[in-house]
Amino acid sequence: MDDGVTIELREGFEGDRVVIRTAIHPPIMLASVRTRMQLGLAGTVPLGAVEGHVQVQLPARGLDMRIDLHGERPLWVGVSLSRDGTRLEVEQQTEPFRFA
Amino acid sequence: MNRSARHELAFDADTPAEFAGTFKPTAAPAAPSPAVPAASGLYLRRPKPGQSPLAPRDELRLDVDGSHPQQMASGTLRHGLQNQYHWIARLVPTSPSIWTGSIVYGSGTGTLPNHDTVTIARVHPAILQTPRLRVTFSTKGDAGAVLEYDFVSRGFDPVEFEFDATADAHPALEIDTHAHPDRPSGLPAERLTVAQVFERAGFDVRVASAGPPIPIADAGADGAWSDAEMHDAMQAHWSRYADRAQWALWVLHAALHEQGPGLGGVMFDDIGPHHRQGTAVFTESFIARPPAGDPAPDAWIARMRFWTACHEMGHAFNLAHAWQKSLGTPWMPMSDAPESRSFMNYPFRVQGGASTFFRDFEFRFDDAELGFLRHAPRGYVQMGNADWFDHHGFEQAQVSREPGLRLVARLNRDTSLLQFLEPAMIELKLSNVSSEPMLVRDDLLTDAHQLTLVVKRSGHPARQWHPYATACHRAAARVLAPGESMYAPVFVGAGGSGWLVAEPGQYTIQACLHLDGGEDVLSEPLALRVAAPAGFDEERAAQDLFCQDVGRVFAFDGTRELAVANDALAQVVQRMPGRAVSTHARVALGMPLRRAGKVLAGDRERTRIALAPARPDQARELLGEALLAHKDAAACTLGHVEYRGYVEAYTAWLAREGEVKQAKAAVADACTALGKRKVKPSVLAEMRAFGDQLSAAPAPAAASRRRKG
Repeated sequence: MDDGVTIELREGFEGDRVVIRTAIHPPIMLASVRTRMQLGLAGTVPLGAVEGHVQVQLPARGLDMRIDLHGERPLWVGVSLSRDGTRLEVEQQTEPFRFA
Repeated sequence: MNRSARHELAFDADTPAEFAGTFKPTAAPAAPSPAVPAASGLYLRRPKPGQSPLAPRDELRLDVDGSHPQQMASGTLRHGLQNQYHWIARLVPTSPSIWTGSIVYGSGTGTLPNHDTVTIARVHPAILQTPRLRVTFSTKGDAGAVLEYDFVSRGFDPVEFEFDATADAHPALEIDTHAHPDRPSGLPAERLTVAQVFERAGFDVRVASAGPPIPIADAGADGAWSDAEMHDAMQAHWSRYADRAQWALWVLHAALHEQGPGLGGVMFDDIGPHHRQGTAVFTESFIARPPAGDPAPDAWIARMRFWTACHEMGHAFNLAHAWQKSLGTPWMPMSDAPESRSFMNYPFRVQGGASTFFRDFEFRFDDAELGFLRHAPRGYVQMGNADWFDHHGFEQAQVSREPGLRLVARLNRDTSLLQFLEPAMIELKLSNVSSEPMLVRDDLLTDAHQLTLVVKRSGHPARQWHPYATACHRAAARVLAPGESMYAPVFVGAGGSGWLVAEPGQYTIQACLHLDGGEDVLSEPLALRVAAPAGFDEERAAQDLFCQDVGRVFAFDGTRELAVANDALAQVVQRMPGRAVSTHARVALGMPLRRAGKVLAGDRERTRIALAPARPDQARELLGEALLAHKDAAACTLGHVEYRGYVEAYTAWLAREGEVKQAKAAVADACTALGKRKVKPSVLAEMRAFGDQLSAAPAPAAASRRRKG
């Protein structure tokens, strides 16, 4: 994804249903998203040339977050659940997140 | 100093310099003075008079000197044939050769009756006698048992590493600790090996000879590896691979993972019941990309490759990331250590970034991790060993008098009869039968630690079913509303303990869920019968089908490696196309053919990577016939949950191949078939929504996996 946006679902997911909404795609629904503990990564969602914002929802937890995207491209958006599972935490950077 | 030389050290009561002062709870100097004989190591209890020399002996690990001593001792005490008690004590030196301290941890079967203190004294042996310890277990000054232990080795456990690499990988198994200027000012200059890192962590390390580099000429354009390909490669090419726990680890160095350059390495072996036996390092990933302007980019790369190898190997010893220590079910309460300068922390995650990390990093595991590696119950650490798991029999079930949950084991069919050779798939259904919402773990029906399944063939002893795959993840809680149910398919026909439902006859299957609060939920027994063979062909096929390889292939939806199993399944499809087993065989043969995948080919001396090509026409024929030609029969033998999963996987692939219209039609047909089988309308609605969303665009990737065995 040379010039697009990639969502990386990272820490804290425990079999969650995740819905990602953008202005240009139909809603992307991911069932049973779970963090692989040896990586700290649950899943990667390439979105392509999205502008403006994306919306990440975890309906079962009642979480719904609008993420205003930085202007740089390519862009990687890391989304984690807080340790108590009540908040989404977002990090944006212009290079891929690293895992080991 | 090599290992054998260290084993010949004299053993006496000279005063170690580091014990002259007061006890320090944190790590002592990194290495003992060569002039000071070390006391740390593994000891075995002296055999009792008349005891067979081959009988298991109680162990003791003394950790008071050497590399980063933790001032701890731990051991096992055996009672009878089965009972084993594990204890850990924190020690203070009271004289140059005596340590004492409280027992801070105990677990297992058996007991350490009424003792809370241990005193360990080095006994002064005559020349050429085996060094030994005299260990007194006591309570409030009242001496209890006094046991004697003989010295065995400096390492607490033996472990063997085998390092293999593809031709395009660049392993770094040895580095110059001073090659990069970002380092602690007091860091000793040395050539440090991966093996030495684990020797200093407490192990007697043996490095097995690796094969030559694995050629990659036939590996396809990307040269990237998936977890499943690495697991196949480990089974086929690791000389020590075994389906059991052992102190042995396979480390594959390859260029890249299919996830891309953002993944530096992975402990990929969370597939199968004996996990943590295989790790991989991706040497051309981000760990080969130093930051712009780094003063020593080559040294930066070598150090990151070395760090990654030790990090992934640490996962194989069951170490979590430094910031995840409090998650899951730690063996004792642990605190997160997000700023730890350990192999188990990400250098780029600490405050100040990687250069700050390495300026304080001494190429070691932190003290909490060393405590785990050296003193945790060995089953928690040893590769391939399941987490500590007490074998629960149903006679011990703690069933509530007023259960709020009801567990049902059932077949998705009207009769309880299975055809001969038909893989036995059952469905577990857990329902909230109370009037209040209930909080349960969402993996309750699939977590091998919480689910016990026993299969009894009439006239034969009961056998416990063990899944081929045991997941290693954090459980989530979900609310089960009154009247709501959750479901899971289980391939109970075979598992880690072999084929359980195979021969003709009557079977009884019973499931038990162990809830976190200690309560057990027990299903009513499910009775089923396996019919007699329909003919000689089936009798002959049984000899090829009822083996572990075919069981694995059914459980994991196919293989690119196990050719004998694939041949057996192909024979089934050819010779008995209308039988239920052929539906399972077609699915197992067809699923891997949807996409290309790597396999390791050749013998050990001339191993190479080959790309098993996608065969879309064959995949389409096999899966179409299995899932759509006789939909009702397929849903019956595969079970409703599995049938839906296969249909969605198949149609998503068809859509990506450009056959969107056919894919949507297939989902609609499958919905109709499942509707006639009285599948819940809400499930059918979800399937229809899935069909409506099918398109030729690549589907989003998620790391989660569906599992059935």
